[in-house]
Amino acid sequence: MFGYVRPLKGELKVNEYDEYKAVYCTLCKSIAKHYGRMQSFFLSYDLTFYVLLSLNEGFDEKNKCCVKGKCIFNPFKKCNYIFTEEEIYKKAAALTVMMSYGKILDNSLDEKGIKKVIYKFLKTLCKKAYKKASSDYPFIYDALNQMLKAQLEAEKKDMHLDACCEPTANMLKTVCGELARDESFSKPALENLGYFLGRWIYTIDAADDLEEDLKSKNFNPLIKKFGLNLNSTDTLSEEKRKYIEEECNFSLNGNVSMMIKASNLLNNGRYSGIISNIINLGLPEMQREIIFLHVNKKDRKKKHDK
Amino acid sequence: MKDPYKVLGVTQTATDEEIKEAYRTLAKKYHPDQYADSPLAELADEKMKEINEAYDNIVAMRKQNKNQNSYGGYQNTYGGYQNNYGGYQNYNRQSGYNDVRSFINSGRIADADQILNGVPGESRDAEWYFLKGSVLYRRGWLEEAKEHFFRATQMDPENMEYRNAYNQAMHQRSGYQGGYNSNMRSSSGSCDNCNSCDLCQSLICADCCCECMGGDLISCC
Repeated sequence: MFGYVRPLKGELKVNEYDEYKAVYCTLCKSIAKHYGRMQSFFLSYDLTFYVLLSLNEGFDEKNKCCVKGKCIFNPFKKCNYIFTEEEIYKKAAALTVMMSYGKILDNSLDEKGIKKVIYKFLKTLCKKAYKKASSDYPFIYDALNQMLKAQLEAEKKDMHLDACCEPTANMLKTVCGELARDESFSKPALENLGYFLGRWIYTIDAADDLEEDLKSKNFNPLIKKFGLNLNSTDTLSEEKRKYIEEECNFSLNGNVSMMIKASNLLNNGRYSGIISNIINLGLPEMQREIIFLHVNKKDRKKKHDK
Repeated sequence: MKDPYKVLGVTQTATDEEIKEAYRTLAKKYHPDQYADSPLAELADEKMKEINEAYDNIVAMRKQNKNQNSYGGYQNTYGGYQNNYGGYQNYNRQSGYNDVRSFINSGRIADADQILNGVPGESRDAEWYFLKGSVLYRRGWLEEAKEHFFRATQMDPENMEYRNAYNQAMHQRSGYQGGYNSNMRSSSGSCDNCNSCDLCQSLICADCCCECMGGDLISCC
């Protein structure tokens, strides 16, 4: 479920790119500082976006300088860090830890064989950090728990796509809405943005996993939506595949258009440029890569890490 | 009060033209038409007021040595929206769902939904599907909303209110309001492998062909 929310690098200004990287590295360091170095492996672009949204809400213009420091993973690399707004990074770090724990938990239930054992092992490794993060931010813990519960419910009842999106959408609505520093104004915009971002992420994740889920007979709301047959072993016909691609893309477009409206109402702050790049260009590019080009997960990571 | 120049995102030294341009861009962005049926309508409305105020302020400040006419017209175009924004009243003909419509207009989505859900399956007509679609749309359930609008247009193809709602939903999905449009990009992408080398080559080729036939395309070779 991670790594879908990225900027389109080619369209970022050079200073925006530098700042994006600095925020990314600072988040990485913050995770290591508060929840242990191992948790930094779960660093994601999605949570970087969360930090950007938060910083954009009220960034002190005076504190704009970056500090050069050692990368915690590569001793030969130097990264830029922004050591202000410590609290924001800590919150994002806690969210990273808790979300990845949720993912591990989910996988340890879904997977079979050796993978199951690995995930169970990971679970015990991460438990301590998870406990700490939960007690640091109980509201995130509540939001995530509600999401997991509602998700199981929706899957059990084999609900419609909209209903399946709802748990993720509501979780992000709560979490993003909480970032608002101005209750009356930014809060509804952030909540709305979070809601449709959640729908977008859930839908693209479902589209990304569709073929795998068809093979392994796991739950996927798109199977029902397109009336796919779980029992047939043969692959989808070219026509059907094209139709599914277009429909998924349409559905994602609807969510993006709602996000654009919400993001237009956000505070016009320091990171507005990057945020608008992510929503207007980054998300559509991700749609192209996943839905139409079927770039697999490993290649995607390589491409963006370059 | 906020600095009006900051609200419009221009510097104090900006020319009148630049200010008008900035105002226009923002007015388009926050125009209530963009946010019709969106839970953010109020917020957009506030933003619109804010930029209107800022623009008025700047114009007033610069008024002394400027001609005011150029600005008068714009205010009016915006002033017109309040009327359509009221919502469904315009369409209100004989409707069995006046209470539902007024709940939707006042943002009481849950109440509207409750009434709609109380209608038994066999008496659900085109209007029911349209209103249910509106409720779903407001909640952000875009997929089901679209399907309900579609059902409404199927049951009553003549009705423009239903058709507009359906068209709007389809337009939103097409990628023109954000997102990825596979048709839009692929046509521009077809020129990806056309570089200046290919261009020269084709020209020279064309020249050779012309010369074979007795004519000449590039006179120097």
